Amino acid sequence: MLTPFYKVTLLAGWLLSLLPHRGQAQARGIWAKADIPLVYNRQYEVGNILFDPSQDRPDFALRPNGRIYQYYNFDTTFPGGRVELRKHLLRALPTAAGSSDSGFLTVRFVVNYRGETDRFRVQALNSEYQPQAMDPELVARVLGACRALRGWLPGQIDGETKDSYFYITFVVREGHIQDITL
Amino acid sequence: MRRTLLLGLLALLLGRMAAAQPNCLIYAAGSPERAACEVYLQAIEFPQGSIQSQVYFDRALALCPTFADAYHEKSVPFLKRGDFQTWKKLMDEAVRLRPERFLGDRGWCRFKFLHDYAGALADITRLRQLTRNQPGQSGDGSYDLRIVAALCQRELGDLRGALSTFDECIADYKIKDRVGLSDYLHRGVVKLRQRDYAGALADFELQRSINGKLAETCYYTALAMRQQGNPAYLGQLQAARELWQQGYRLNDPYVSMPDEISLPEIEALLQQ
Repeated sequence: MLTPFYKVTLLAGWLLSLLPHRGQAQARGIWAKADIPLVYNRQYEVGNILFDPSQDRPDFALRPNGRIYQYYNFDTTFPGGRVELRKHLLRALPTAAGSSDSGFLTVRFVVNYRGETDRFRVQALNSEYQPQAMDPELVARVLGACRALRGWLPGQIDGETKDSYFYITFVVREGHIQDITL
Repeated sequence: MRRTLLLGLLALLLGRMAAAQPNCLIYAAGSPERAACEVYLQAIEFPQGSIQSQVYFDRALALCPTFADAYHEKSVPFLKRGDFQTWKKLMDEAVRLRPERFLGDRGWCRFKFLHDYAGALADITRLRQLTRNQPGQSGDGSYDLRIVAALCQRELGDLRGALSTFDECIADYKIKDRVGLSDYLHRGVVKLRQRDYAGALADFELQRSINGKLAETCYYTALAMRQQGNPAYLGQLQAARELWQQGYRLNDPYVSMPDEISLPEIEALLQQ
């Protein structure tokens, strides 16, 4: 006959068995797919830029299926290629004194299927890759130069142009544009 | 002896394959590493950057917070999509946990995507110390990381240091008959910047023996010849234009490459 102590132990063991397993079950790899709650937006991808009525054009045309690709999926580019775009931007952004900012200023945006741009976003980091507010005048000049770019060549799938994200990183040293990577 | 060498090569190849996709069986059954590794393999079945893959990487790290591969793989879409803050944060964790495995990737990406030459050089220098000066290849396999270090030195303005690093790496690879696909081209550009035109032309000639069809080789050959007053430079420029238009040029899907040229650059020089 079981003593009350054993009954308590068995009950506790049964209750523990109901908890998610660590170790053995995971080692067999049988739980993961069914165990992860799918409460998130399944369409979301790293880097998606959501429409913001306070800064984005409501009439910016996008393909109706809603899929915005990455530029490297199908070579969205600029007339003359990235080497020429870099030279064009370096010419458009002459050295200006007045700030001691150093780091990376990345401008990311959407090139739509017509070769137009919108949904611009900026990330400013210091040389240690930490967020840093940069001189607003410098940011405005860089953003203005990117917005002014015309004639983008959107990438294509099966002969049809598509929407895609593109970004340009400005290497800032003591307030001026030292380099551009794209 | 020959058999030992073959077995050694096989072990090396298997090691590289394991680095690309971890072999979960190397971890003890029931261990947190094995569990995290199995979830990691499920994560990479989803499209890179999808929320599903990111959630799976998080779950792998919840099971085993020291499973560095998950930090690394989770970081990749942030890099490719320009969120360098998040990329660096995740990559730093991978490097902290397995420096010998991930320092090279971090350095290569700092060089390639951000032109952070000082940061990249620091990473590769540390890796060289950890690996007895055999840091391995860049993330895409294009370069020995010592060549990347030389390019960093070049872009930081240390031309003599760059040349010395190029020479050391190329001499090492010459013995193994494994000079990289554009190593001589990049070293030639260092010599061009040093105004050593004869030295540059010799390197561009060596580049032709590695890869005979490259617009950049013809373009920089033309620059050196022009400086020497050799009118044959026009023929080199015409060859550069033809090769460029045929697609024989430095190219990368993500960013422009070191010493990459554009068609308008060739045409501008042709019209001068």
